Amino acid sequence: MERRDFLKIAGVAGAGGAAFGCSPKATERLIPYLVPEEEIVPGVATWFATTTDGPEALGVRVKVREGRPVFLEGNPLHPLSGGAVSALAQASLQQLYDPDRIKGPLVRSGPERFRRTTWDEGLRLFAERLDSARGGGVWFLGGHLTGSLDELVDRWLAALGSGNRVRYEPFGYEAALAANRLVFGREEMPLYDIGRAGFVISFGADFLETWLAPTFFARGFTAMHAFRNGRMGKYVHVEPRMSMGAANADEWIAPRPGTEMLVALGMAHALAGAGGGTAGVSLGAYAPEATAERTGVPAETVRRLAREFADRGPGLALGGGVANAHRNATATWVAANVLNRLGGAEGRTLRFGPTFRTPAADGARRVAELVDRMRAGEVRVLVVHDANPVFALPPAAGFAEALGNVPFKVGLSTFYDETAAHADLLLPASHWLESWGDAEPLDGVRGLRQPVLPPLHDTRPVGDVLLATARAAGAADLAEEDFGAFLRGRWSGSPARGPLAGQADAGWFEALARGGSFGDPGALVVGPGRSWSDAGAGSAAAAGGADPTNGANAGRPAGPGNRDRAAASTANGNGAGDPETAPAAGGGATDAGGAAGAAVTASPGPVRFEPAAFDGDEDGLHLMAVPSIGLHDGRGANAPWMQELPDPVTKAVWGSWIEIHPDTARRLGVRGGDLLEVASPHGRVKASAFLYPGIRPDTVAMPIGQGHTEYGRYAKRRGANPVALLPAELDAASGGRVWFATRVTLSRASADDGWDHRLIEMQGSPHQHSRGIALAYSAAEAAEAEAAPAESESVRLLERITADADEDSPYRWGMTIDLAKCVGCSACVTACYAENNIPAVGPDDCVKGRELSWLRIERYWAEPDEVEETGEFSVRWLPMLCQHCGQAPCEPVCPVYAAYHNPEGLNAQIYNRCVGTRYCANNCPYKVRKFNFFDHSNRDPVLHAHPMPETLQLLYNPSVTVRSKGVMEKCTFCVQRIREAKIAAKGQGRAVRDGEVVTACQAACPTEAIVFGNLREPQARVTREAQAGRGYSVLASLNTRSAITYLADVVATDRPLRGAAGHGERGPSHGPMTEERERRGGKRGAETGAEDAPAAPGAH
Amino acid sequence: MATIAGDVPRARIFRRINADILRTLAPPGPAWYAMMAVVLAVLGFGIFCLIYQIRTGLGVTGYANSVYWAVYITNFVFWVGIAHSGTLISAILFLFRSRWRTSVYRVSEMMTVFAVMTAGLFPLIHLGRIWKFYYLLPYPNSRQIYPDFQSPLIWDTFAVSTYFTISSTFLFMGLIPDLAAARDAAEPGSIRRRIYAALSLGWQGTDREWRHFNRGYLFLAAFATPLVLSVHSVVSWDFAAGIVPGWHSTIFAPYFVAGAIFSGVAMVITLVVPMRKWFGLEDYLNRNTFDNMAKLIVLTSSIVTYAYLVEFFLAWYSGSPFERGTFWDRVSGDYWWAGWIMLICNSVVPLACWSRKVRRSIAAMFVISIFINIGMWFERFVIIVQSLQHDFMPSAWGRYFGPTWVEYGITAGSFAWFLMYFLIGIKLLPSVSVNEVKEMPPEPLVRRLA
Repeated sequence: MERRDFLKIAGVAGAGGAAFGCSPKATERLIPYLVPEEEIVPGVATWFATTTDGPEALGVRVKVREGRPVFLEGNPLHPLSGGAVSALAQASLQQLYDPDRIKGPLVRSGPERFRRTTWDEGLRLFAERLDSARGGGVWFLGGHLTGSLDELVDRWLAALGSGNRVRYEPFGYEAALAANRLVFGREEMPLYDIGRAGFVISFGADFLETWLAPTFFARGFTAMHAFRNGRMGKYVHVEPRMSMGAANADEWIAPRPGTEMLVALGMAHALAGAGGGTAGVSLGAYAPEATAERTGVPAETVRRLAREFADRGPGLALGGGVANAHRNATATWVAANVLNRLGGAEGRTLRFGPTFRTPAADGARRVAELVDRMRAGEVRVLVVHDANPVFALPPAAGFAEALGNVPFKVGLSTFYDETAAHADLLLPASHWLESWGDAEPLDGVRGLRQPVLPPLHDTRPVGDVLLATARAAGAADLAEEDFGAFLRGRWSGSPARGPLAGQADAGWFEALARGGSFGDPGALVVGPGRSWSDAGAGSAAAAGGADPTNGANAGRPAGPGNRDRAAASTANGNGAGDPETAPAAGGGATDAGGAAGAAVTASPGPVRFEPAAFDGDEDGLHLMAVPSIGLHDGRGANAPWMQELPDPVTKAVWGSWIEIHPDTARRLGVRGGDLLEVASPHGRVKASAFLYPGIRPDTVAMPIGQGHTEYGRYAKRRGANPVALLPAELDAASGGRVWFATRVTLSRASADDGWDHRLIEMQGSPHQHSRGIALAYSAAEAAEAEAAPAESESVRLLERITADADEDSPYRWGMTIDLAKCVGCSACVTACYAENNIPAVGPDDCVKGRELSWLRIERYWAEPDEVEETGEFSVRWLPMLCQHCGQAPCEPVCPVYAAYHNPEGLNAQIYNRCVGTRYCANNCPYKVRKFNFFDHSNRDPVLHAHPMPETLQLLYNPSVTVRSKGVMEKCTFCVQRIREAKIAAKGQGRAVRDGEVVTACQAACPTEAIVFGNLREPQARVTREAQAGRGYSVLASLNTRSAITYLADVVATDRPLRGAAGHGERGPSHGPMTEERERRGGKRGAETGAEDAPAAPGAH
Repeated sequence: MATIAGDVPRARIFRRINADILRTLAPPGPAWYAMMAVVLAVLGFGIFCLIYQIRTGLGVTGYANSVYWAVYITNFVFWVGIAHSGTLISAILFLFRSRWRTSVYRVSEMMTVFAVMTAGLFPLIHLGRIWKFYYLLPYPNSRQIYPDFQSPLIWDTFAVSTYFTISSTFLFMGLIPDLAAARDAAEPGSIRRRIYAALSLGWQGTDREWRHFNRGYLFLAAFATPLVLSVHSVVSWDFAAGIVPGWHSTIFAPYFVAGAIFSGVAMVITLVVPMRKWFGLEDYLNRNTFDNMAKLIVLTSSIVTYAYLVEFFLAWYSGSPFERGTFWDRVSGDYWWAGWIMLICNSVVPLACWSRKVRRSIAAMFVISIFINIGMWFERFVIIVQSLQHDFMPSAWGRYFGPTWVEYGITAGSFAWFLMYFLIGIKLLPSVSVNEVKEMPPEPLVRRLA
């Protein structure tokens, strides 16, 4: 062979081999488009505006990568989300990929057994049964619906000749609606404008957690309560237990269970005098002195609160929440409304402009009626959609038994929950991200919902199912092909109704791009404009230029929207009125609708202002069943993100517990973590004890949402459902469900039922041990601190931090976290899980504290000696994440440069260099480095099986590495978002502008407590915030030069806090207070040995 | 040489010494095989545990919350500590002309080498990605990454490997004349003889060879001496270079070196007592030897106790809430029991050695040595685990629930690994130095022969 021939052959063979080596298979797995669709650019996210389901119906923008939704961000145009998104809404993204969704139509083939069927078959069967039951035999039980689907259900029922619709949400607003009817003459939920108030007193309403519109209220709360220009509003929470909301209050009042209305009336009495009264309520008998005995709240306190209500600017009183859902709930609401009226809230902070679309006022009554009808055998076909009454109703209500009398039960459920398990036919609904729809949580705020991916499984949107069966039933007016067409027809087709009536396609597409039509934004302005976010205005230009559908993170802070709204509000001055000119206390109601003073004379009807009755053992403990931010009413229970999200109050995960006051526990001989049997006259359940100083000694609390017998692998056989302990009763005056009405007794139990009853706490010590980690000032101290920021420590600190990047780098990334704004809602934690592919590790690893969360909300209770000294129990939050230290202790100890300092000051972690010595984690004083003990990213958190369910893998964000076992990981400051912004900026030949990089946690935060940016830009919002006099670094004495500046919490109190719970271990020291602190610090320091003794049992 | 007593002919003594010591090299009996079988079984289980851990992930261990180092690093420090007495006894005491060392130095040197071989495994076993362990080695590579010489873990890599090199060289060097003796004692033409012949490097015992041997030995002893101090100092810096309260202390280097010698001597006693019994070496490993080792224990125990007290004092004197919190927690927190085991075993029990009667009681010394072994293991455990689970952020304080079966398995496997080498070693190498004993035959032996 010639040498040349040899070379030729070798060349061809080599090239061939290389070509085979790069076969397209590998590529195919990375990007599943052989022929990419037009709008999809691999590696570039597409954003779609849509609306979540559930009672809150937040406007969101969905980040879609390569056809898969991977992240939710609030839609800044949506008045209720305001650009933020709650943890629960974020978790509904994970529910989309839940491996336990019903994957196709099922028809019952025997007890406990189902047979897979086709949609044709399923729909035919459904239609047949409907046909045979035509008329009164068809019942539809659904959750709270607004918008087109709500209308479709009514028309569908009408087509079948039935009016039997039951609208039911576990947490209803019946008492509020009844009280509003009695006092204001309107059975509606007004707009509670918390942001405008100077003083908010909540009688049990957990408006920062689950009540009505928490994300919206959180924004209002910030506007009202955040400390700026030396001023802040005051928030007082009245509830027997310190809930998450109460923990954010400046003052927590714990009256005897069921006596809140007396506190409210006492305040009204103090405001208006003995002769005062309104709406048929005369206050004569309710002098604070007269009721102090019954409420347990000193008259002194009530009088002071009344003074503050009147003096601190417009006040606002709220009722509601489970704490108030007792047998006399309506009375509390009436009392709160009386207070609102006498205190001048009406028309100012409480406006019947646009009203909230609450679940129906007769919801609970109708469910009771349904049970009766089912018992009587009158229900022939029961259709259940988006409701799980078997789980959410007390067994005493007899719903499950009554179901046995219904010959044909159809579940339109996404999950195989407790109610679906009773169905004869399951026609699984598509997830809201796979469906068309709309929602109108507040009058005029119409959010549009569009499918962002085709259904993952063989499911159909509920609307399609209803339309198909209506067609089969011969309904002439429901001829639309599918629900999408119905929706569009309703929005733009019929001239009379639709918000886009008469507009052409352009209007429809614009509405889609904007996420809906939000009416007159002026009526919804939150507080006096968000002046603290004005820094973002600089970035508005950048934001404004962005394509609305693909605008990435642009325009979220402040933006033009807010400013317009602020302007509109001043301009239109409708019934809401200007605070200055609002009518005085007791004046006639002037609401937008003009349904004037008629209400004033309305009689409070059957309402009697007496402490609510509790059944059960006289010596028992009052049981509160409380919804939480993660589990809500149980609908988030099968999402590992929600199971692993530490409860804001207890920091417990993957289970339920019973909160007991330490004194009570001592009396009963109970220690933290003990498994107890909780017995009421209505049932008994098991739960582990959590000792909580933030609850009255005569009250215990249990979280709602766990204790599922069905629903899915992550929720099943875990914790307990406290609903089993409750009576099946309704508040007589309003027909609302009773949640807080029974007393329980506790006894020891053994865990022999195969359920997981563990109390798994994610926080070590509940106290700061005088280490000055989460600081707080009183308002006066904060004003003093902010008065002289120019040469303060925080500025000097900032200079040092800013230097911690390469000299020629234009960036030194940093963050500020304002503890005065942080409410502990943990939306940031879930957002971080979603953005950064953080796997849930499961309960067995959480026990060992191996959770991988890059961001945690630390919760610190007041030191025991401080509580003793002041008599006030308090809770502080501290979001803790990688501090991206300038002098990071983790960096020099890594033998392989896996932890290193990048030129922009980021503390970077290179996963593929990491060998897993874990020295960095040991040396990190903030304990924010997390180790992959298993292949968590590919391991089922509960079953521990590899690989993890395939659908859950689809959730991973392609921009972020999925970590393998044996490597360390931690917060990156969302480096992928920084890169994205830098690439975009580079394309335009400029530097990244302030506000262009928004970290995931910042994006989710409803209160804008988190600000991220470039510390080398003097005008950047982060730089200006970091210079605030309240700024400090956690563990500053270690000289880590943390890039995160915390702004100390501010409490509206007269009591000096001296930075609270801290002594020498803080960064900045502020003027004249230093000496005082030093003195105290010295004293504390000497006691360090003693204070370090183990805290509450079960604290570790 | 002048000390040889009475009129016993030197040749007779030497013959007796040769016979006594080389008897240990006789083919093993059933007892040895039985022990070896147990050791191999345990080792096999340890290897199984390791493979299971590598396949599944480090989650199968007990690591919890902020406790990212635990049993494996404890074992590492423990075994490195054990490895210290060998070189101390053979090198430092050699330089100090402490003649009592002659009968134990070989055993302790063997122990040293095997203990380093054991210790060296643990930093690897504890790695999250053991299959990438070579990232820690400095060599030019396509990754264009060099280890970070700021990291104490890299210092460790060097310190331990250097120590292993020197101590094994030192062991081999001292063995040469003895290997020649074993060669001469072996049957001519046997494999055994050929192996010993090769290993003894043609040693003939000429004056010139002895002169060079003694020079070389002295040189190596001088070379090894600083290593005794440096290796454990470096290991201690694994902790002292960190900022964790309870670790971050300048006292750590001397504290750890003293502790290492302390634990090493205790381990020598633990190993020598049964060996002496089985091989009938009572004449060589006599009460004088134990007396002297006990004195070393008294000295090092005192240093260690002093270090404990200084740590507590400094924590109080610093005024730092972190230091105070950690040290208060050490004696009163979740691991109070481990802290008190450490204090009692290492500071209180060795006080018995102030009594001459105890020092000369072999049974008592054996028991005390066991206490010290346990106490020193817990010392490392306390320093590592207790400090980590109670550091700066109270919210991250967490309870460590103790090791899992995997960690027990691997720890037991490490003892088996060590004992396996030891069992092989005492059958292949003269475990008492023939040539040094001949220089000064032990008195009891001479008395007996007389």
